[in-house]
Amino acid sequence: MNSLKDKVCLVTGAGSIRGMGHAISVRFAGEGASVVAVDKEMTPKSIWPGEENWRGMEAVVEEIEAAGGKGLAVVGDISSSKDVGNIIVKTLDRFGKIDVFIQCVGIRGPMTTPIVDLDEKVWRNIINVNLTGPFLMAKAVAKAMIPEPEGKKMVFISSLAGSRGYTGSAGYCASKHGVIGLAKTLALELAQYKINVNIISPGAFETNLRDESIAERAKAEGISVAELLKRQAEGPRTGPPPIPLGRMGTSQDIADLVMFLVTDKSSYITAQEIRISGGGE
Amino acid sequence: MKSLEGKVALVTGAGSVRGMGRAVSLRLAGEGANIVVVDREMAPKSIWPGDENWRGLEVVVEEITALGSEGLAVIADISKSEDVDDIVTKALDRFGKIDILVHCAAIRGPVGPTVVELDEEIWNRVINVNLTGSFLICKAVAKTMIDNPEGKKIVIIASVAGTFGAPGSVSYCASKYGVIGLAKTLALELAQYKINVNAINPDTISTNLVDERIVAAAEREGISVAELLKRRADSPPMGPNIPLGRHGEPSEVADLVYFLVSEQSSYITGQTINIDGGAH
Repeated sequence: MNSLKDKVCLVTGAGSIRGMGHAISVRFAGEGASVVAVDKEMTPKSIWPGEENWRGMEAVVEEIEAAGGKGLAVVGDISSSKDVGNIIVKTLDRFGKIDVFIQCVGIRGPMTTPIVDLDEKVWRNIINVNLTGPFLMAKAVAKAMIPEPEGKKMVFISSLAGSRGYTGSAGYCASKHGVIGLAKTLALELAQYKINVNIISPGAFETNLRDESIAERAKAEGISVAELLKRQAEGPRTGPPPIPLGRMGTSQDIADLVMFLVTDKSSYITAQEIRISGGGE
Repeated sequence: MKSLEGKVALVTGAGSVRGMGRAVSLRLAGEGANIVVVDREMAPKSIWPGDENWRGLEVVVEEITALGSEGLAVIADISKSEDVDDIVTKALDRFGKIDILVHCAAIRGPVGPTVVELDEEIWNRVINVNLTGSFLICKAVAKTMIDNPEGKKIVIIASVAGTFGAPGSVSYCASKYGVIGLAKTLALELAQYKINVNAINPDTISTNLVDERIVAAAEREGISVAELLKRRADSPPMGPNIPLGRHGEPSEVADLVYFLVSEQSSYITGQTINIDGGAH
């Protein structure tokens, strides 16, 4: 399949083994695209058994090439404008343009800390990575797209937490609300160039984003992470409300939707937030 | 193999020459599905020059056949439960099952009268077709899907008018809000069977649904419909602030429908997706 032949796709947050960015990058490569995979570190950790030796971006680039695309790994912190400048320069040096931009980077932050107890530093860090980071990337990528805008596409990964409150998760929630405001404004500003900008809001997904909270929960319950993962896999799920379709989402589910949003089959869809949540609100 | 080979799709509101239902039928037929095309009349009228001899469902079935699939035309009023039963019986008799329902049938109702001016009978007619019709067809088709639910999909065409008030169009607006409530509830009720149900909210798409509005505008300006259409073709109206600067095409809605009935969207259910050039 070659629907993205000759396209250059920049995907942030692409280094985690169970991440959406990883799945999206490989999916694009399978459609013939050149993919620039960006992450803050070369090998983001995973807590899942058997994934201790994950080689991160190096492995992602190998998978991209095995799938038929060209790959370039760039290590960069999207909340630093200097790093963002470097990501763009390296992309343009290697591939000469950016056709598709997928913003997946996000951190979860604390999940059980009420606002009255939330440390300012922790708050600032989440907003910086989850909201200012996407702003800096979007600004730099849009500048690169505008001179030759035809067929250019952007997709921002937000969250169901971008449209409702979740107690104990103020930083994540506020940052994801903000991402929706950023992307909708950007969509209106770029519509004159026919650049499509849309938002995907996933519900609960099996990605490494939840690792930190799982590790914390294991610590709180006084058991090992492996034991908690085993219990969760076997026992009834506690915590979030039940998912109508009865399963968590997979990175593949996200990659399929992203794919639709970057093809010419969705050219009249812009400034929209699409939820992918198995029917969960 | 085509991606919908072996599937049976039922598409309501499929008889208009410029309708979404026709575009959807042909898109799904092109992917290999057999299609039951439903409309209230054989050949719904079009005001557009050159469309005078449109033969309606008969042509749509010919087009489906030309794409290598089978088509069946059923004339029925979806606001009547006996007609809806007839649709489902004929679909099952011919094809044995319904995998996909794409519900497009709707009427626009009056454009202009405010709530305080609107005639109750007109209100009832719009609610009856747009909302009760949606309920009846969804209920009847969902019943046939539940026994063998794998891969079954329902897509309902609502409207962006189902998300904000529309002065002068209260019956359309209220019916489309209602359709969204129906679709979301149905999605939650059918999720246990893994049947996906989603709604699409188009804004202005170049279909025959806007014909009535164009006739009214021509009358207001004191010119013929043909003259107005010509003027608009020369300088298309921007519409109320459409960021992408143009109206949508039925084929664009068909592309979105195809995504929602494919295996590429199996974790998406209970959602409304706007297709409106960024307008809302």
